[in-house]
Amino acid sequence: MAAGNTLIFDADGLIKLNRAGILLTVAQAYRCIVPSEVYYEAVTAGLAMHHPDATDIDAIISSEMEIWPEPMVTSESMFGAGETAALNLFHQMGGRMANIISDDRNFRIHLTGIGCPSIVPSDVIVRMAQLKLITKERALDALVKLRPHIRMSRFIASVDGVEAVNDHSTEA
Amino acid sequence: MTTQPRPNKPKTVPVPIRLSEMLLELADLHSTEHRINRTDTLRQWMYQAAERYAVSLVSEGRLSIGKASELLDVTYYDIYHIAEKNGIELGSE
Repeated sequence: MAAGNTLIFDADGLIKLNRAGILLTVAQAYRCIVPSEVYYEAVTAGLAMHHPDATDIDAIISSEMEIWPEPMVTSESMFGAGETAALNLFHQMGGRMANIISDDRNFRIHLTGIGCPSIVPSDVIVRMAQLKLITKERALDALVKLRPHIRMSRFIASVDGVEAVNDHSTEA
Repeated sequence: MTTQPRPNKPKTVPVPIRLSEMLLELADLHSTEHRINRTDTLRQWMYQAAERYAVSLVSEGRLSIGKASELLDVTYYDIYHIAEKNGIELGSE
């Protein structure tokens, strides 16, 4: 995932990167697109149930991200409406220079199966450290915040990935 | 930002099931303790089991979070909470 690539979010990607405290930085480094169904799941439904993350995510989307106004998706597929919308957007974009960001195991198995590039939030953090878009310290802090929401094996692999980054990184 | 309204709450349908008298006795104990009726107790038990089952499927990669949240009629945030409450790890390997 090079700088300048496009990230297509599902709600899982938005919520986890926000909990890692790094969603705004990601949004400022990459072109980020949020299908309207994903916005509904992460923000509208979250605000309705008073989930505090939803307010932060709403502010970041409003200031730094693009909302893709897909018509209402009827979720008769094997996925939820937001996941289906993210996949539709990927296909509409022709798949060029775009990654779907999600840590949903089932969804990513499908994406891999159809050859759709995807990336998990913890790998975004590692990649940003490698590209020196964030410092190692900030990346490790983000991974620690993300830890309760990802598998231990994934956490350890990500920490190792950040630790392997050259020590002379400076935040861009 | 406004999005299209989601469909209304899922329809409910009556389902006749046969249960053992012992289970009903237990349900009645629970109902008395929590000051709810027997039907609500059984519904609550079934829903809690359904939550755990759906989130375990998510953990195994057999169901997506989005689909699970739709089937349970809860938010994404609730799925994370249910997983945490039941000690179930989510996310990619």
